[in-house]
Amino acid sequence: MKRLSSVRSSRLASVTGALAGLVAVAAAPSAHALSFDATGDVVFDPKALVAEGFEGFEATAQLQLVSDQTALQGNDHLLVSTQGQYAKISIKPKVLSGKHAYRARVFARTNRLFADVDVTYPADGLAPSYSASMFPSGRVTSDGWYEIVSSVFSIDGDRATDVQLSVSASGADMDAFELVEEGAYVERSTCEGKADAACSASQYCASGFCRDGDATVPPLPPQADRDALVSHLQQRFRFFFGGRYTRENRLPIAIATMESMRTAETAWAFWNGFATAIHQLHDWHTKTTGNADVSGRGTFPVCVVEGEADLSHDLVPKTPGYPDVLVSHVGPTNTTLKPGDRIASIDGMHPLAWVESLEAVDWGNWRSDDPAGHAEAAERLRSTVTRWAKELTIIRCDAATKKCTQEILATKDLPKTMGGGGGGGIQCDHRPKYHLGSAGPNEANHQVFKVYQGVLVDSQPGEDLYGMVWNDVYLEPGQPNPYKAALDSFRANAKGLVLDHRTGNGGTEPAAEFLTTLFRETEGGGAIAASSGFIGTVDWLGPPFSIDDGVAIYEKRAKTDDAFKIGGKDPRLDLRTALLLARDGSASDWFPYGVKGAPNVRIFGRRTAGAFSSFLQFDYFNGLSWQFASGDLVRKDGTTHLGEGVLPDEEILPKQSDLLIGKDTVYERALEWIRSGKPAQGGAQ
Amino acid sequence: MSRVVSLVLVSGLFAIGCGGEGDLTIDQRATGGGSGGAHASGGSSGTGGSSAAGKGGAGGSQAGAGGAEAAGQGGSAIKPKRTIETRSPFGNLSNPKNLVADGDFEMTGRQAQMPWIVFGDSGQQTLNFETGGRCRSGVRCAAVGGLGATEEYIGWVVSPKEEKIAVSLWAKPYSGVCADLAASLVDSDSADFGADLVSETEAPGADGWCRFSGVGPNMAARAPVVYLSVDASKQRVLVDDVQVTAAPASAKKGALPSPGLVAGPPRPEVAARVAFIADVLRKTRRYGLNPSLPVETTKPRPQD
Repeated sequence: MKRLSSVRSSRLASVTGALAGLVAVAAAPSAHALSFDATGDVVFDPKALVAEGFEGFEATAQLQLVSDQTALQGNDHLLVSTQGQYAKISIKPKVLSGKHAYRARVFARTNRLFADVDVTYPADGLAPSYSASMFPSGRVTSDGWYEIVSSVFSIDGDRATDVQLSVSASGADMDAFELVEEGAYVERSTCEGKADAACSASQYCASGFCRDGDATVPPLPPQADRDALVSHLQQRFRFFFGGRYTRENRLPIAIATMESMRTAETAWAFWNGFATAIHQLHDWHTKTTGNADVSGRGTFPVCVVEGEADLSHDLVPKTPGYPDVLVSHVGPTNTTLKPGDRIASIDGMHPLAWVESLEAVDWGNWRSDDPAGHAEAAERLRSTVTRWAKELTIIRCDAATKKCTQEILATKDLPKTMGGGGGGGIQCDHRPKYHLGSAGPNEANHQVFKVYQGVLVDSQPGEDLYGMVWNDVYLEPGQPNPYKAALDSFRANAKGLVLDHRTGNGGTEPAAEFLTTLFRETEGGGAIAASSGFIGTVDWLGPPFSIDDGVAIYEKRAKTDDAFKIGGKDPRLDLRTALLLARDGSASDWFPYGVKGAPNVRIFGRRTAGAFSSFLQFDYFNGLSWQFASGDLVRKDGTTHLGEGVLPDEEILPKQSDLLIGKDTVYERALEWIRSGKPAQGGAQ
Repeated sequence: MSRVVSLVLVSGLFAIGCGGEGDLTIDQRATGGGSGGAHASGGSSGTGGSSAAGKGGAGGSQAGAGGAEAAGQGGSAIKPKRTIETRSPFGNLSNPKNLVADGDFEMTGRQAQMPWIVFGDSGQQTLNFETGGRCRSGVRCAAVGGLGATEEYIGWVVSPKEEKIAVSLWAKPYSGVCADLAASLVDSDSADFGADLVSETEAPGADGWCRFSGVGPNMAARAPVVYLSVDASKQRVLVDDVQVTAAPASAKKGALPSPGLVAGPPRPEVAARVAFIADVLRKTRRYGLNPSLPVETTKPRPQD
């Protein structure tokens, strides 16, 4: 941590005597804070609590002092090069005692400067620590400086243990930091759930407290700019977003929500409206990232899967349209839940419906394109529970007696800290177990970061049953093929194969194609489908979209590298192969699509997300970014695939009764199928 | 230091001489687009000690810019070291029908699958930017080349359904030679289809900027991109405010807005480079979760 070497501007202080008086005239107090004199020099607000020109600042490796004539004020400015980290400068000594509100601003140049004021409070049960982020105000100088500014934010100076200017950049100049008292102190009161009237229009409720939403997003644009910005953003989506299905069914909803941004009265309402609109697109590739995230309240090291609660439907019946939600695995400590426990409801709603209802507050909201897919919500449940749930209805069953009981778990009663090795690192991958023994991933944390393959622990002598567990489907030009060794081994040695792709993060088209080479012959007719690429024409893929339109796209794109060509020259058509799916999208849609119907391949589990597109990413200042899908997969017959997941040959869910005793329902059924028959011809049965 | 002090002294006298009229620090925000109020009215722009000025002259009026804030009042002998203005931090938004994914480079990160992607000798590179008033509009602009290696940018565009495509952009060559930038509108599927853009003038205007423009063919059902390139031997070129719109039916190639300039189809070397880059992009296009967030720096955010 670096403490400010000076508080008042040393630059102004250096102008002594009569000169200082002249400056004072030129720099008469203005209607707002930090201003410029007639020469273009910065003049800090005379009432600024911190007015830092970084003159003679004690440099560090991350904050290098640069002395030249281009400083905004004086002769010195800082060059911020933090290598992905944040450099911190304490300003706590200059913050007033008591409860006051402030605004911070600083100028930067050449690259983006990410800057926050971090306010640290003790974990005493009162309003927690937070950061006020700075974004461009639009004020720029002819020599490249631009201003970033925070919203008005509140600090209880008596409670704060530290207040820091926190900056990060990959080579940005920084100068003229100012902190002024401005506006009225706002208390952050307690709140509950995903919406609470206790929070103002500038706030949102998360983890039990009203959070300062305005402090996490860019300023509310002035009305004229606001309309122009809304129109600009809407048009980006109209021009580039989606595939045929989402353009027809979801885009109009999002556009309508964006319209409401025009009348937003706070920065939070404006930008959270934008985030909400993006979430309403219900697309696997379409996401938001921002600073509107807070730590969860308590720890919940619990992973759930879509399941079949066969032991407890008498207590809580199934909800039409949704699978049940069962605990698949948990962290080693800090939870009383165990595999097989059922989360029957959250705040009175089906758990997955509850997660999906958070699109107006959860910036990590994530949806399948196929409306029947809910695995993404299952994966988000753990994070959202600690932020927005009040209580969970849990059903626990006894493995021996099969008796079940129902209880309420209040979020406020969750363990408050992770504890030693408390499961914070556990990953939710929709796999209760791995079945590869020491060749598989670590079952303590479920972190799957490469291709795992080998003989299944259940393979009996002579059976030669192999397995592979992997999440990513990436092939990069010039990089080693991470799947080749596994497929070569299976081609040479396996008599049966379980491909566990129950978490499929996707990757690239060449990888999806390569993974099909073991299981079917090269299609004589060429590509079975083709990526449309990014949308490149106004209203392309939009309604009305005819089969003829689709055929035209296919015929054009199938001649390019966007063609999806499946199969290989040396397949093992006799290899009885079970593919397990649960939460799969994009290239992890393509691969199942490419092997479905192959002679001895059978797919078990859940449908894929139907996310048959690529995506474009947009990145604004200080962590505010978003991405959206663009394009579709067009089949040879002219139909499009986005929005329609690849269906399993056998839809099967983990059973509560199996999870209770450590049995992996889907894997067991796959293994049974592999062992059940001779290799089929012309399609697995 | 002495130089700065003397400027302060002069400015102080000036302020007194003017009776302190006109608080020079109040944002005078202009509305609407267009050339806006010159932000150094009466004063001499693009001078002073800034590094930008030393590289071709900064300042001058800016398209879509807001109003003036600071120094350089008419009739004064003062040459302020910088001028100040207020712009939209989201760039030139005056044309919502701009068919470029991010024409003003305000919403493009430095890596990943962004609206603009830069290629160098070793494949996809990190985008470089310039900021503030050095840019034509908004807060950021692209800083192409000037690092001793050829840099090529690909920017995603949509074509109108039927009309021809009008393209314009602003470029500020540090060398003062507009032709240091090569710019084209190209179908990345069939890279010999499109149009080269040309600068409307051989030399930049007084503000250091060159305006490139051209009219290309309709590219419906194609994969149009704006291609920018600065050769390794050239100095850096700033690029900003790229506009792509449906051209009037009467538009002819090269007819907008300077009839004397002709925009022909992409030169063979441009077509070859776009074809090569497009092939790489198709092979590496992401169909999946992004391994890392598309931001320059990721602050550790709360985890579970």
